[in-house]
Amino acid sequence: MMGKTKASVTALVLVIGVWGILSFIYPPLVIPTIPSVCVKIVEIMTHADMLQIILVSFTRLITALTVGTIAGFAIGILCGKFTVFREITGPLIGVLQVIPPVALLILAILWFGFNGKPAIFIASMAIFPIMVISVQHGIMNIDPKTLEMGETFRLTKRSMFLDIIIPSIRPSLTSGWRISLGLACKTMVMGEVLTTPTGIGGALSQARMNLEPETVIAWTVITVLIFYVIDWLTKGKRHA
Amino acid sequence: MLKIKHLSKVFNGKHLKVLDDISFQVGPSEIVIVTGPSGCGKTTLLRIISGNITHFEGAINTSFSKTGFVFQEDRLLEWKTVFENVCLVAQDGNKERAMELLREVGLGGFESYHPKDLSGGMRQRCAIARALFYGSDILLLDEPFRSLDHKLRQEMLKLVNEIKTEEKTAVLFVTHDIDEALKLADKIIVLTKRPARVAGEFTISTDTKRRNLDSCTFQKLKEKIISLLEE
Repeated sequence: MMGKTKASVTALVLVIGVWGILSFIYPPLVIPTIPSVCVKIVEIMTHADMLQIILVSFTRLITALTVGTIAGFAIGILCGKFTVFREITGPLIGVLQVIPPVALLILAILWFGFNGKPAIFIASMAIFPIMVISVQHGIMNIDPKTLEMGETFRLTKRSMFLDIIIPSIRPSLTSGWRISLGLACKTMVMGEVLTTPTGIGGALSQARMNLEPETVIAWTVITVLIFYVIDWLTKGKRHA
Repeated sequence: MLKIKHLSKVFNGKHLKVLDDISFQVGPSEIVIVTGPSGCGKTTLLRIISGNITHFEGAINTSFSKTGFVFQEDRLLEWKTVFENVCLVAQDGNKERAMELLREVGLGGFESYHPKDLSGGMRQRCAIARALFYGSDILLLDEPFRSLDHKLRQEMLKLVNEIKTEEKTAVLFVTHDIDEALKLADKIIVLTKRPARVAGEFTISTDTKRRNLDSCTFQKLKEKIISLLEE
């Protein structure tokens, strides 16, 4: 079996290889060259204003993740524990999963105006149902015999929650979190593109207007890096 | 003292009667062994006594304040070490005592292992140590030594006897092994097949150390129990 690092390197080499070939075939305006994108990334990362742009988007992303995750976690626990609550909220969660983010974005612009808030809002709303479903699934699949053990030995509510419930739902929580993180990155940047001149989305809009595909790809790569940084930061907790 | 009076339990509405008018007592520092055919309701009986099943007919009066339980399955938390699993049930308890109990059940040196790294027998011994660390005044044991080999079973039986004599803990023990019951019990309750009723109750006053299972008295007692189980 191929090691994880080896597989990642292979995937990266494949992407770069295909990209290199395409950049030879097509003009730089369609597919920019790898060196031009690398230069742009370095330029962005070393420029104080550019770092400010990253920080703005990063803050919005963290806000969206915090709101969506906490709300999703709380509702997910209630849905997992109480059938009535699950039956009432089930259809609403289903509706939230189907509503196109762009439709929500239009409403959010009406409510919050052209600033970063609509981007935070749609990212939160995108991850909320995923967290609800993940946590609910986790709660409903806790082994009742384990819970019975805890009750028999009269564990405190705190201990039941921290020692049994949270570790039991961790696998569902982990997969829900990873999906949410990716989705939050995508929707948040999309929200920025359509509603604000600030942040990574604002920079992408600017690059589109200036016809700078290498800048678009550079910002995309930076967004992916942000995803991996947050993923890496939360991985330790997930595997603890 | 635990007094069970006219205990009955029906599952699935009124379709499945499991226990029917069960009455017996467990005194302090007494080992009471319950035996009966498979599926007769022995585990249900223990779950009612432990408070895990709350709807039943009859009455359970107890002066015991803490009830420990060794379940049929070990029910260990996979994400905790052996030591953490034991300490979970008495978080303010003496950690040295937890280590001592682990040594007593033969798990000395395995404190930092996770349950997945242990054999079935080792996991069950960890569950036994956990129940003992809880510091209960009555201990419920639901066929806890099934997965242990002969030598370990004997050691565990000795340990149960020590708990009774040294810590004055009452023990209510479910087993299919009649020899095990004769070696350990102060009282043996034989249940019928489902719905379980008390088919016989036998008190053994001979000290556990002086019991000779080959003696005429014990052989006759064993035959009586077997005949009740075969009815």
